[in-house]
Amino acid sequence: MKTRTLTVPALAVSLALVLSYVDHLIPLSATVPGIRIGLANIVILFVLYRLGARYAAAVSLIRVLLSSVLFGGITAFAYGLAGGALSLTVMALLRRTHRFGVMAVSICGGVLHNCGQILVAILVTNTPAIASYLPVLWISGIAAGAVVGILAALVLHRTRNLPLT
Amino acid sequence: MKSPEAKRKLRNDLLLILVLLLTGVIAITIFTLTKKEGGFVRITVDGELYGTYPLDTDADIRIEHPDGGYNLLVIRDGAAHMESATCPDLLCVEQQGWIRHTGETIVCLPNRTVAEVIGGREGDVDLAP
Repeated sequence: MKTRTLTVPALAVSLALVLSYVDHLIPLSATVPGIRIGLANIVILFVLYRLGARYAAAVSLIRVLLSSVLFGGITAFAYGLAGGALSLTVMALLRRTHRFGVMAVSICGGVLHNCGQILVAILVTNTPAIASYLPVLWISGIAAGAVVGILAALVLHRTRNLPLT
Repeated sequence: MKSPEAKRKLRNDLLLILVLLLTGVIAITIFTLTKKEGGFVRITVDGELYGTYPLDTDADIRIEHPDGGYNLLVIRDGAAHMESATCPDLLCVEQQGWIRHTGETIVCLPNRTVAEVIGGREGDVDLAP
């Protein structure tokens, strides 16, 4: 069983990486600068619900690290880390209340991810005015979180009998 | 088929989503209503002021960086736009478009350069809706 606790998160990381790449290919940026669906969050949600918050944090951290090495750079890393950490914290807390479904957890994750990125942009450039993008990114975070939430709920439902630990 | 717990969760979910949506819509409304045309574009590099330029005068501003790179900001018809830059991702050139209202920004993170529209067009402030 020990091997499984190693291979499942490893598989999750590679899946999340592929989805990060797919994310980059979807040309949503034409509508709002820099927005993405955040498909990798399907995997993070899956790990959060099936293996727990600690595994989700590990998978998320490694994904951000590898994805910035492969597709981005140091700025992508700062953005990804802030967004990922903030969104995962809130998702894990919301899940622990047992009062909300995957959908709401995912949507809050999407919104908080964007908040984290704005925060980094403000800190790095020392320009508070960037906060004016928050309302638009707030709404797009809800939309993206909803898409991810639907997909994550489907995945969790179909894999409900899968032995993971 | 649905348990009472699932029903309660669904209701909570909808409530939470509604609150989030409302917050977003209210914020957008406030931002749109308080928006006004700006008078100047202020350029900062590394958080330090590089220069302030009037939006009512067409100009090409080449912002030189110590590492040999540059950002080229052009002002046309009261709006500013990043024409070209040496940053690797070119988000500032390709995705952030034209800025003309106060508070709007173009951010080039790799070159740590920010162009921000600020107010100050004489006589305009009181007329703005």
